[in-house]
Amino acid sequence: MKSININRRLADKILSVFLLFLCGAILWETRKFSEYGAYFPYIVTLFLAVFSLVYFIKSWGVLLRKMGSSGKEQLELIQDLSSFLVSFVGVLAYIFILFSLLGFLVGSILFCISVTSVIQITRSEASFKLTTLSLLSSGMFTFMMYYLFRHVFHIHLP
Amino acid sequence: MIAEVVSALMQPSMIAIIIGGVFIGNLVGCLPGLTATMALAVLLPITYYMPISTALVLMGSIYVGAIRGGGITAILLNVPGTPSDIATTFDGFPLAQKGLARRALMMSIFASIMGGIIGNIFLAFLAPPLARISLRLGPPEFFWLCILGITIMVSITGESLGKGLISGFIGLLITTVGVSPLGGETRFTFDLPQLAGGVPIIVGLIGLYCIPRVLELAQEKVQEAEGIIVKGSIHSEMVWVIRKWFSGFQGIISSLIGTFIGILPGAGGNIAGIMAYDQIKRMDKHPEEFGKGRIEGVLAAETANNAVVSSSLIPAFTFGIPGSPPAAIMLGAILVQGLRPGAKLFTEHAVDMYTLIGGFFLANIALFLVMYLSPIYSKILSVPREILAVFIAVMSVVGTFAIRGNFADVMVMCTLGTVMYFGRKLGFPTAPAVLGIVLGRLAEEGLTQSMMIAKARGGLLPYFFGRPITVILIILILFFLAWPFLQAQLQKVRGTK
Repeated sequence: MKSININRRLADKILSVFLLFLCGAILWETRKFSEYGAYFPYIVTLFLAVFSLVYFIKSWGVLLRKMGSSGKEQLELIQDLSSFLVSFVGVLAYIFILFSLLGFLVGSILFCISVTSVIQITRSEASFKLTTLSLLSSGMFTFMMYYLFRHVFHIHLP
Repeated sequence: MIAEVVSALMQPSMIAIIIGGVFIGNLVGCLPGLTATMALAVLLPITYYMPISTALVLMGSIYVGAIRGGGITAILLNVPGTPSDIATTFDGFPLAQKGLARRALMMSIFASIMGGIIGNIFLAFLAPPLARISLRLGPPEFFWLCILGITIMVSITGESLGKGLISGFIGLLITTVGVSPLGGETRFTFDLPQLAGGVPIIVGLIGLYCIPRVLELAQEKVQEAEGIIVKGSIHSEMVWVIRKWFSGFQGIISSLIGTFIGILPGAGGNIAGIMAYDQIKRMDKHPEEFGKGRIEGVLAAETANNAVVSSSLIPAFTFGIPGSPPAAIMLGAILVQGLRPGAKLFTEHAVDMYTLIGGFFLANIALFLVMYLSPIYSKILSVPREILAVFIAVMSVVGTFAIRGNFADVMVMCTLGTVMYFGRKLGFPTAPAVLGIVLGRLAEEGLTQSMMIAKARGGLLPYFFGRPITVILIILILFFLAWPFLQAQLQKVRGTK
């Protein structure tokens, strides 16, 4: 099980700079808006910029040194890389390929079965019992959702 | 009106919805990592197509069931099923280890029922008069109330103040995408026509709460309830816990603590459970026995956390400041139905509101039925997490798509969720961002209308900062911003003494 860790202080530093840039970009963009359209995003971004500045000062060490932080603390970004990638890529494939091209019923069943099976195989947990459970539950769940949205709420699904 | 409410609640379909909601909530709550908030967020699109009262009753029943369901894993696995059940683990798991798992489970059910009913009484009698106060609020007060809501949620929950505020204000900014409600121009759409309609509340809530859980659940493994055997008669244990609950004042005190914490915006069931547990422990003649398997510990925690369920809706429905993260989703549900918090909710939509309150009462009574579910708990707990992950993913995608039949919404939902996954890992809490999305439009209307009125009157400062209620709200915001520092100083002073 491969995990991905990142230095917390480094992550905070990068993110604080990114947030300050984001605030700058949003403030620049608000110049194009009408007076009434600009008030809210302008004021909210000003507040956000202040909080981001405090975050920036803290993460770049001015206050942290006083608080005695070692700066070596690791942060677990991803606990199990293979399962994360399978689920993440699976969700993207479901949205962009399966759901839109194959439709809800086929796409959802394929998505559920493939993602659960691949995760179980990568973890060496695959068994006849688990595969049967995944197959049955995926089929039942998908048909239940289809019935609910299509026939109870009368919503057209792809 | 009473006849209309009773008639609505006595419909067989409504009773089925209440029982179904409690069962669904209970199942979701007992799965570690699936919270009441997430359950409500993922089911929000389904309620979108229902009449308001039915939608609210279903969500209320799920909320009641989920908070109680979290107690099951707290007792059997020593893992709180929802954050509200942290205090239940203190004595629930030791009781299970002593062979008293059934007794602890029955106490968690009955305490939840009693806490829920008492919290509900406060919702019924306190919310309407408080809502009338909201009539005195003008646009600047609504703006400051929204900011106060986010500040309190960040300040009280003990998360990082700075990161919580950044999260909340990003939530507010997300609501500015699309056509400006008063200016009329499109904002932050990157010239994509699909974004002109903005980010609907439901899309934001599902993205922020569900997609991070999908990615997290896929990485988790099932934790087995090793060595814990649930034995004993369901009925005799239930009779015993009923007598125990009424034998002292612990139940009433815990209910009142839970209700009070619920009314405090942003606090939630976890704080209520811990505070009630701590108070009952202090009052007991043998506080040293707490943590080693005292049934009073389960009583206190479960009574208080379920009292929060109804009472957390009091500030949400009256002033638009939710008392807990699930209450924020409930607030989102009434906003997407076109209603607004405040006095009109209890006048123009009084039947819907009192149907919800009656629904809460019946949902708490329906909790008696879940005691028969206990034989299947161990099977539910062993459901592989990756199967849950894909089910939540399917519900999130189809629910988001169903709102407007728009793939762009699904992409926005997925993007928000992925960003929130990494945000959570870096310590940015989800709840303030969700509250920002829920309150964004109200805050913008408040601010922009204030600016327009102030401009017409020729003075921004007196109108926006000088009105008596706005002064109080600004002082409260400053107080809650300073609260974490004050709390740290107080702890230091206590430590030196």
